[in-house]
Amino acid sequence: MMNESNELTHIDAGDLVRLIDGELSLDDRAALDSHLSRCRDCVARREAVRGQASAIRELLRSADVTPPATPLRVAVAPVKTSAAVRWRAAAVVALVVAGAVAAPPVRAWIANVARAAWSSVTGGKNRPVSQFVPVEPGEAGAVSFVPVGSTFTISVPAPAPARVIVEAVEGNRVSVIGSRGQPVPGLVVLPSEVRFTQPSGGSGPDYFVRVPLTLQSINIVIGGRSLQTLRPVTAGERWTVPLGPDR
Amino acid sequence: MSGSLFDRTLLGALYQQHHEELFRYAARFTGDADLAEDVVQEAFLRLSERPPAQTEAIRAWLFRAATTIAIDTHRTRRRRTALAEAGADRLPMAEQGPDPARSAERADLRRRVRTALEQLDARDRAVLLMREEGFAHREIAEAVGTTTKSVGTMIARALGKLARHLELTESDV
Ligand SMILES: [Zn+2]
Repeated sequence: MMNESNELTHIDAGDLVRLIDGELSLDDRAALDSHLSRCRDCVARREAVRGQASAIRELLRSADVTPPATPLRVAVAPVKTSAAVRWRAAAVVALVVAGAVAAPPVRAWIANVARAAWSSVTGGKNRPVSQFVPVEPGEAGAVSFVPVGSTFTISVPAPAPARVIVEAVEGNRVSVIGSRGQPVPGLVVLPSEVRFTQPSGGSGPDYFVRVPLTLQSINIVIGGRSLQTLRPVTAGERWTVPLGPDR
Repeated sequence: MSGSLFDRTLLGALYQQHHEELFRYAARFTGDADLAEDVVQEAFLRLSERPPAQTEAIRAWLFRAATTIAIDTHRTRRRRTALAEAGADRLPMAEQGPDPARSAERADLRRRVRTALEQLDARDRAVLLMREEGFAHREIAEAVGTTTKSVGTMIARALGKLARHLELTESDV
């Protein structure tokens, strides 16, 4: 940092960048401003750095390549129960990844799978050490698993032109499937939740979620807000819930 | 954030949210779209294996991981390329354009930018490119293992060098 009382010391290049980027403390900033008010050279240098930075930004942007539409290819991380890991309990999150079949050459250690399990760990005291949630392909592209707990959540990150059809069934498994019996892209399965992370598609896809009567309540959550709570009582009950403003 | 960390976040959603910007960063860094994809995938693999304790810092964590991976990858690739002779000037994922003249122009621009970025020391390049992604100097410093204060100096050096290589004149800026 230059010394304010020393008129002969110009602002160094690093400080000019820190000034432009708003990275200076108030004191340092005041010192530089004071120098700038008296030194045209440094004002010109500051403007030159600004100009270079924005010209380079433009060039970088115009030289960018389009990101490929590659799905996540991460596959199965075995649950680590090391105490060193801050993540204490393990809940396996299964990700159903669409289109992974089309993945370009992959490094050998990244398995090319359409369904990947991912271990995450919960840190809460009140939570049971949650168990591995084995997710199985059900009939015709459905995903099926035994949920943890008696409350279940069906969520989307934001309102979407889609509907979810919830049906109460016997048994103890939740199963999820797309409208025409196809797997759901971007479906994330948590121990007591399913998330539709890619509910796009202008035609408005429907999702079918079968919920077992062992669950007491099903929360429909849109963009973090609870929209509706369903309480299945008898098998065969159905609810159609629009997930967006349009339907 | 109460209770759990990652049960409120999730890899798929994080990928959705960040893979494009990570790819952009990695592609600029490596100058190679295929390599950049691998960098992104490996960053997410590492995230799944060793998730950070604080979920709010995930974006910076991902970029830090990508930086480490990109620097390592680039180092090995440079060695390989040096052996194989860098003659083949493969364009990163050449895009098909309807207008060949424009495509050629674009390809030329890419080559220019890539060559200029290659002149930078790997850490200076990472610093400059992370700044482009809007990170604070503190976060950039953590990614490349330096002090917050020296980030300004590194950026200034990188900008100056790039400007010279790209032959930016007063009229450009
Ligand atoms: Zn001055």
